[in-house]
Amino acid sequence: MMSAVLVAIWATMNGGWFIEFFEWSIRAAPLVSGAITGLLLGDWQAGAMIGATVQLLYMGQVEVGGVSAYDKCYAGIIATGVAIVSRQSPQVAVTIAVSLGAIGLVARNACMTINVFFVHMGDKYAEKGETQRIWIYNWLLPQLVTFVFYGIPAFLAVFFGAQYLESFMKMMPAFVNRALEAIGMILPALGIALMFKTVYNTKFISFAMITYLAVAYMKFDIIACSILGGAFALLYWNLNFYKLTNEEE
Amino acid sequence: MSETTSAETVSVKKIKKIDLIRCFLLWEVTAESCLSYERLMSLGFAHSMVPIINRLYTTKEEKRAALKRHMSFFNTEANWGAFIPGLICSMEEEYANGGAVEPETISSIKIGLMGPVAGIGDTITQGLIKTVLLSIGVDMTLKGQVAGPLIFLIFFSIYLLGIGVFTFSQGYRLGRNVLSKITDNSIMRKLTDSLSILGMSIAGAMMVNSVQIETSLKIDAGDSEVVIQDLLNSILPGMLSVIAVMTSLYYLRKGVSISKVMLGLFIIAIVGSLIGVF
Repeated sequence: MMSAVLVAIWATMNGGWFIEFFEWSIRAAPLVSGAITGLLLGDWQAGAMIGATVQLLYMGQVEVGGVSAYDKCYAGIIATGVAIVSRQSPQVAVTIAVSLGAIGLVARNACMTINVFFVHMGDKYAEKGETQRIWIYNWLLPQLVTFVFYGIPAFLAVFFGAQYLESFMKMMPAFVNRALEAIGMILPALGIALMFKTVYNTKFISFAMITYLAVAYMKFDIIACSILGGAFALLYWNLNFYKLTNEEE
Repeated sequence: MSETTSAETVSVKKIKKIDLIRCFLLWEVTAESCLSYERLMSLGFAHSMVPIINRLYTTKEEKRAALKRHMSFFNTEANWGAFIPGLICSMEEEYANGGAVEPETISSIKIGLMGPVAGIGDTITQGLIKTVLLSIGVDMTLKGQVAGPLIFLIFFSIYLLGIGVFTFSQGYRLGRNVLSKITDNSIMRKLTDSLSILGMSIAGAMMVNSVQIETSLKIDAGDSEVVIQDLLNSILPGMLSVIAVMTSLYYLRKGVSISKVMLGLFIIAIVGSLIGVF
């Protein structure tokens, strides 16, 4: 019971972004998060061994824009907790980590979808021109969601075993997962549209078209496009196009 | 003449060192706390700017404008990316003191920098430093030295914090040294336009790079089946993404509220997944 509560608290702290810095140094490495999970359960060595074995699986993965192929908290912390409590070998722990890591992606999707509403609440609050309560929307509310999608599952998994969590996931209708994935696929369009709006300038629309072509047809990555955009900006500056575009004013 | 100069120096709004430290600490704690699909790190960025905003702006109108400015889409790598809040602090300072910096310049700088900085940061932090340190830590641990995780944690933390402090302070210093020297408004307009070009270029690229909407629809045509996504790709790659972004932009520019656009996209996503479009 006590160990389940401890792992649940630890998973909540590492599910979302409790403290940004530690997410980089601890959560991002199952080697460390697993070892600390072991420490909480009174067995640093077992935690470190399991963490290291799980880590080997995910070595060299670069996570871009918060998108990852597995959930680090589920794979690194919850799986380690389950394996230590049920006294499994690191090899068995890896299989638990793989299946829990995949389940965890649903939790990540859910959190990042629900957080959208907090951003909108933040928008409304910003309209008032006050700053004192921003932390509630940015930090407190997302932590509560993290508790629901990381803390509670961690407790259940450690208390009842990982199979319990898996069968629970199977009970969830498939369309919930599909809908969450579809939302995650479509919502970035609004974010990019909002970004577009802040720099939008009709006379420069051609530049957006060129970089679109570069990505869609020539498979440029974002760095290449930044260089391209930088080159356009420099051309504009150096050749004094400024005088041309502002002539009519 | 000398009286006006001294009066001006008194009214200069200056960011104190403590504000920069608080801004940096907030960044290190909450930059991604409210990571969301819609705008990723937007609220985190606005949150870490709070000490700066409170120092520089007094009226509610100014604070509202500043907060809203930093609520827009933002996504970068948080360690090397500390450069951006650092630079923005100095730009806000310039703007608050009636310098040549304009709000559009601030937004364009953020959009122009977040991609390249994230690219550099992700490659060096995750691809290089972390992989090297991890392989040392994992190797030690598997050979029975249980301090392996600790070694990794200590060295990686030093690296992360070092990079964060360095890029943040360099960003602020760069802004102070370069931007404050530009007093000519026509040069600043030119710079704003150039940055707007950069911003538009990045936005055009991210339209298909960051938004990847694909349909899983298939049509059975006798023996063979037609995959709709392949068909769409042969017409225009990333067509659905472009349509989604452009439609959202159209409504946003018409003054439709963000929440309504979001609701629309939500409904499309849920209905679409129910009828098997996605």
